[in-house]
Parts: sequence; structure tokens; C-alpha cells
Amino acid sequence: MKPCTSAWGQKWVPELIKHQDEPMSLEEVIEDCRKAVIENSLALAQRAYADKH
Amino acid sequence: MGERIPGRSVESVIEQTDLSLLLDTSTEPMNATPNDSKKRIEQLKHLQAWETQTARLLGGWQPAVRLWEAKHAIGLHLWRDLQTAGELRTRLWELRVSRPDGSAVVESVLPAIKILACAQQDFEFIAGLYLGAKKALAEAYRAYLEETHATWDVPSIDILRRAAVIKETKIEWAEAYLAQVATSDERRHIVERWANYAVEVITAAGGVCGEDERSAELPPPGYGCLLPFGECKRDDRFKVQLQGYDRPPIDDDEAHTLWQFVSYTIEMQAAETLASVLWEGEGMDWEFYYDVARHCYDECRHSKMGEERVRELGHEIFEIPQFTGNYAWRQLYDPMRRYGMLTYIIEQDSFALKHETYKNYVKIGDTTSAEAIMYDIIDETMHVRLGAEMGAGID
Ligand SMILES: [Fe+2]
Ligand SMILES: [Fe+2]
Repeated sequence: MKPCTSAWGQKWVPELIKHQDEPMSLEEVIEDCRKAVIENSLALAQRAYADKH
Repeated sequence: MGERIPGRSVESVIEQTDLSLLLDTSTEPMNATPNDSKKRIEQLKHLQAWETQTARLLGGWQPAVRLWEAKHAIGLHLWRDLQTAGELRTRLWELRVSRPDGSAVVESVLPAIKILACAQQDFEFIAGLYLGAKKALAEAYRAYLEETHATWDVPSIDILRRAAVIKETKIEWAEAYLAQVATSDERRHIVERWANYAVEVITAAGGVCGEDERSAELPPPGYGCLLPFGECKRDDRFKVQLQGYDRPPIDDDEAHTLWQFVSYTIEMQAAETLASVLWEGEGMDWEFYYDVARHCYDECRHSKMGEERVRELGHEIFEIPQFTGNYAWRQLYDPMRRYGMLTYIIEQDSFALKHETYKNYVKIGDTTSAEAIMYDIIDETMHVRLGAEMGAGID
């Protein structure tokens, strides 16, 4: 079995979007994810880095 | 294992590209065991499906397993299951089965898996999965090895021998875990009852090779399903707090190093989120499960790496409160967003921090911490979108 070396987020988030019938585009979903981390994360460094982008 | 004489020449076998033609015994029966390969293919199809679906189920339960060492072990086991499934699928591909997940296979496995999910306690679940499903798999591998042809089917034999040993080791692990956790008569009774029930369910589903008669209905569990879990559990040795820690200044070597490796121990929450995605992402391509299982196991290893380094720094992880709230709030989002947050945001953003701290460890001569971070960066480059380019900048 060939080991999988591709970038997993890039590979599977679009597939999950299709699988879930998600109406948002990939870019919108990623922005949504960033907002969720900034608003909710309890790891302060995580929140700070997400906020810098 | 008896020697058998094939009914056709090696040349004629090689010329065939479609194995289904070879299996058409009505036109040209094999001498010894007509339909032998057809039977083996059906068994392998079911076995790989059981490996895949039990790994998903382990993922569903992993966040709710309390004992820290067991949580780690399950991260490894679900990855091993997917590796075994991958080897079986490769063998099936050699046998000209390119799509082993036919609806008949999934329909016979998934309902049983969903019933095994309905245990109410972590040790009960482990009893059913390991002493029921995994034991059935180990026995099926041993039976296959006994029955298959010692020459024709050598590639399968290599795979199944390894698979049998891996399963038997995991069953031994579960027996030791249950001896540690199920210490009261009541708990031992629950273990025995649920393990026996799991065997009944698997038998009613036609067995892990899918060749026994299936009952019209599987025996009902009598419980509702608790999955997916909204909170991840820690055992009683841990102190748990809601909030994470402030990052100390990087030039405060001692405090910063401890902070960084404690943060690694808390990556168990990433493993738990990925484990939940493994379970909740039903109906995805098989390769998705393979990748998520590896990712989940990697995060367990990062947590372990943190734990070992924290110990080397003179502390025990149980002294330092863990926080579990990141798993909890992520569960409020759908599995796709959870996976997107981890891969596109959290892991990707963490590269800057890792890069900075790696350089600092090199500068202050802490080569152990630097090496640990380097291994983590290597794993993380597989996890994120731009990881390969950013990781390449580390010197
Ligand atoms: Fe990690
Ligand atoms: Fe990661």
C-alpha cells in the first residue's frame, strides 16, 4: 500500500463538503473555520495565530 | 493444508485478466475445490470491511475512554486496523476486485457495528469490540490460514499471518485492560454479558467472513447509542481545567519549554476530534478512513512525545491540569468543519510557532527538544495544506 503523503486537509475538506451537501464554497468554509477557532479556542496561542491571518 | 492440483495450466491463468472468468466453474471446473478463490474473495471482502468499520467504531468511542493509556492504545489500534484493511484490499485488487465495498458487504457489517456502538460504558464497549469482534477476526484469519491452498494463495497467507498476530496481541491488551478496569463483580458481569452479546450479534450478522446464514434481525441491544460524544473523558488521575495556558516569553527557557511540551500532551484533543470524524464521516471513500486513522494516531504520538519530555523535565502530566474544552466546542460543529479547523487553521498556523521554537532550542543547545519538534514538523507536513513548503524552510 502506497503511503499517503499528500496534504490531507486539501485532499479531504472538499470531499467532505460534497459529502455533506455543504452550500458554502471551500474558501467560505475555511473562513468559517478560522472564525470558529478565533471565537472558541481555549488555547490562547491557537487563537492568536488564527487571528493574525 | 492438503496439496491440490489446479484444474488449468499456469499459462492459462496468467492469460486471464478477469478473474471472474476463472471462477465460472460451470464451464471448466477446478479439480480439487471448485469456487475456492470465489469463496476466499468473499471472505477477504468481508474481513477488510470489518477491519475498517471496527476502526471507525474505535474512533467513535476513543474520546470517551477514560484510562489515559487505553486512549493512547486505541489510537494505535485503529490505525493498525486500517493498515490491515489496506493490505487486504491490495490483495483483493490483485485478485481483480477493485471495489471491495459492495453494498452487500456494507449492509451485512454496518448494522452490527452500529449495535456494538451501543455499549454504555467504555470498558463494556472494549469487551464487546475486542473479545467479540476482534476475537472473531483473529479466529477467522487462523481458519483461513488452515484452509487456503499453501501454494496458490501465498500472498494472502503472508498478509493474514501478520493480521492474526496483530489481532491476538490486541486481544491480549484488552484482557489486561479489562483486568485492570473491571475490578468489581458488577463490572465483570457487564464485561461478560456484553462480550457474549457481541458474539451473538456478529453471528446473527453472518460472521466476520460473511459466509454464515444471516438472521432476519439482529438481537437488539436494549440501550440507546451514546455516540457521538460531546465531551472527551480523562481518568481520575487528571486535574481538568477549562482554560488553556498563556505562553511564557521564549527567553524564559525553563517555563517556555515546559509550556510547549505540556501543550503537546494536550494534542490528545486533536486525536479525539479526528477519532470522532472517523466515526461520524459515514459513507466516505475508504482512503479517507485510512488517512484520518493515521492522522489520529500521529496526534496520539505527539501527545505521548509531550508526556515523555514533560517527565524528562522533572514533572508528571497529572500534576499539571489538562484542558478538554477544545474538543467539546469543536463537537458543536459538523465533522467537515472540525476537520477543516484542524487541518487548515490550527495545524497550519502552528508551523510558525514550531519553526521559531525549533530555532530557539538549537540556539540554547537543547537538542532533545529540537529533535522532538523536528519529528513533529515532519508529521505535520503531511497534515496541512502548505506544510511541505513551510517545513522545507526549517534548518
Ligand atoms: Fe500534532
Ligand atoms: Fe497534526
